[in-house]
Amino acid sequence: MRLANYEVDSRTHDETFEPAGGVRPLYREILARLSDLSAQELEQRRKMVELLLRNQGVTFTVYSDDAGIEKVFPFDPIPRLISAEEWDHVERGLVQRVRALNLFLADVYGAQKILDDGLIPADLIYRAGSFRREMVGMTPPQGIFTHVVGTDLIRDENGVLHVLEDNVRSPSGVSYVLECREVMKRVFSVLFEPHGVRPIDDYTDWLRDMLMHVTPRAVGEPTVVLLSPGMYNSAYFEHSFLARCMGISLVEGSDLVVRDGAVCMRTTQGLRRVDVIYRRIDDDFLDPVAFRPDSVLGCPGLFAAYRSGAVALANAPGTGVADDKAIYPFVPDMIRYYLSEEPILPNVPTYIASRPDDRKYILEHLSELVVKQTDASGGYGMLIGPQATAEQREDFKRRIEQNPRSYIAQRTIQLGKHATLIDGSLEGRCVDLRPYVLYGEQIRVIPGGLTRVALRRGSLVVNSSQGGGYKDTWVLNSTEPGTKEERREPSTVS
Amino acid sequence: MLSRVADALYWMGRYIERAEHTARVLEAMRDLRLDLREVNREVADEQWRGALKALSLPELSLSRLVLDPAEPTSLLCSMSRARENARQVREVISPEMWEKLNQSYWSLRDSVAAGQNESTLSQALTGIVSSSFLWDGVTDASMIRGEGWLFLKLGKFVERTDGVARMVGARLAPSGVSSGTSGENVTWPTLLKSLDAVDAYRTAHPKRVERRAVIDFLLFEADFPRSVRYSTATAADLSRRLRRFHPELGQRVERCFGRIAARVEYADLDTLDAATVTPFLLELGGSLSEASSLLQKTFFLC
Repeated sequence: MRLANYEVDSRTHDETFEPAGGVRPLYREILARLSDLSAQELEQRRKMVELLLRNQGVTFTVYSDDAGIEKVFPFDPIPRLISAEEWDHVERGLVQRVRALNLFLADVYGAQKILDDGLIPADLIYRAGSFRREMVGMTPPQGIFTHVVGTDLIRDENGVLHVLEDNVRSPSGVSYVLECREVMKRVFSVLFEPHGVRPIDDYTDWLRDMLMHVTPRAVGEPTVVLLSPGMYNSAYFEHSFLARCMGISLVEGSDLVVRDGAVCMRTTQGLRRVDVIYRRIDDDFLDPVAFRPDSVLGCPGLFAAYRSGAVALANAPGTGVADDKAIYPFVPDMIRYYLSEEPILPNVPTYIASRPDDRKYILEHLSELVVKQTDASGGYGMLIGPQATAEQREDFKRRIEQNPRSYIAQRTIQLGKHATLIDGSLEGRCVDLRPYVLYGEQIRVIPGGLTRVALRRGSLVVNSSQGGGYKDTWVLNSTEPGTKEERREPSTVS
Repeated sequence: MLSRVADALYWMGRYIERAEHTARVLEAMRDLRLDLREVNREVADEQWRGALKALSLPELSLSRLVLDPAEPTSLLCSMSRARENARQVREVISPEMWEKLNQSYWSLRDSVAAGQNESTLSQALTGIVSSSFLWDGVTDASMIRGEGWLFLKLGKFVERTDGVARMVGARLAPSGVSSGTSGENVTWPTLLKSLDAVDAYRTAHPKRVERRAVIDFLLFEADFPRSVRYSTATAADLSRRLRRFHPELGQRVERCFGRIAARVEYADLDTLDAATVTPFLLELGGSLSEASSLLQKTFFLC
């Protein structure tokens, strides 16, 4: 594989190459090893990875594409490296952020001090579709709302990591991280040799420990289940993968029934009581009695059992108000308010269309901003100003004026790039990073996370539904390749 | 174990066994038609139709029956249903089992994509049979012997009993093939071939393929793994082992399968022709479907 003709885009930060074109020290060893492989050899191994992933069923479902409903998530074999120093910073930042978000949820469904103190306008909370009045006054088991968080991070032009989004409902993708590491070890073991790469395979043990920790009933071995919408859900692979790794039952709504105030599952030996539900279905569909009456995915009476303390749900219903795009701009203030600390990881500078001054600025600078509809996700309902046509900008202008509450705008960040294998040679492609944070007895961060990459040239959208792929993310034990340290214990913060 | 999961395992066992059986029968019938093309076309066509009826398949071309993704009875669709079932129970089957089944599915898909001709069809048919063998091997080598394994195997042997009984029944159905004709000489070996019993039969009966001996072998041979007797005895044994997990609930199911096995083991048919065997097989089919629904009612509909 040749490195000579790699183009470094001067408008963005490239993680692999320096602006002048040299390989960054962190990547020297690994690129040297990669360049020992011929283009064919590399392509052959990449194909082998894809075949392994396909045979293991590591696929996702695309709804709009008739041709192949089931697809292998495109995988890029060039790993992304993160130094021990930088990871330490990221980890502290994530733990801080998740603690603050959890305190915010406890407050907003409890005493509501932050609203009384005027830090966040109360109507913003009450009008957010993700606010669940059913949760008001509820303290979930162990006081934890955000059991699993998947925070999206991006790098700006100067290489600084910013938080783009806090996903605190039921973030997916971690199974790809775990499976792709397994496959990388099988196919590209030669790349691991010079590095001390922190292992990630403890994740499912941590997840199970966390779920056991929130059991509302003091029993020897609580019964934990994973509630999935079923095999036609796009994340079904992940649901069954996690259930299998944790040795717990994967249930669907119809497997559950509420008897005498307790949630039970239907087994070949009759009903069996369930203590903790790791639910991978949205609030709306959890319980047709409490939420959407037309839902057939959930279990009638589930929410009442939860409120009475008979069962734990992870994540708690109503957490969506904390990752609402309209609330996001306030998270740095939340951190200062609840923790009396300065935010370690910055937000992307954001304008709120419901504020008259911000709105004026947005409407005047549409061609420079990314506008996001606050109640949409997956890369939909978005205007990327610099790439949009005049017509699209007009359309968004109208929509913002009609319904300012539903829009925020952010400065377009030139997403950081990373060397990626495209047709046998390396090219820079935009990447983001989603580390997963578990809140149990301690707050733990998976070393690394999901690096998504926009495979289309010039594309900023990394979502798998829109042409994105992923790569393995390696957090190194030390910055200097070759100096192996002993395996570090997963860092924990209580 | 979740009732839904037990149900999915039972049907996965049935689907895979059915796909294997169907593939083998179709392959044998294809050969028969080639052999009889010049000599006795009518017999060949009649055997073909009889086999399709016994397999509950519509009268379509071989290629549609094997690889048509739009034909719900095609083998491709059966394998895809087995895979969908496996996907629903991935957390209770071993990762190797899933990987094997998934691989088989994709290689069938690949042959669809490669375009259909004589050799891809034949390859697909033998591919399905060997996929099923591999699946059995992986299952036996890797799956924990819990109730899930028992449900999976019960599905397999209920389906196998049914498949073999139907094929023998179809051969005995009133037809234009009279004994002593050239058709008679080919169709009994074809029946053996369609159940992968040629070599096993020859070891037991080295002289010649003869109607009475074939029927006796396929129905009552204790040691041939695809005979009715072996399959019903295995199903009875599996249902007995279910009692370990379900001391109360399992009793009636065990008795039901045990009765069937005993009925086959101690059957006393003197002539072994259509007059005696056909009613025997009809009765067997009836009690087998009763046992299957009792099993489902007891464990899957909680």
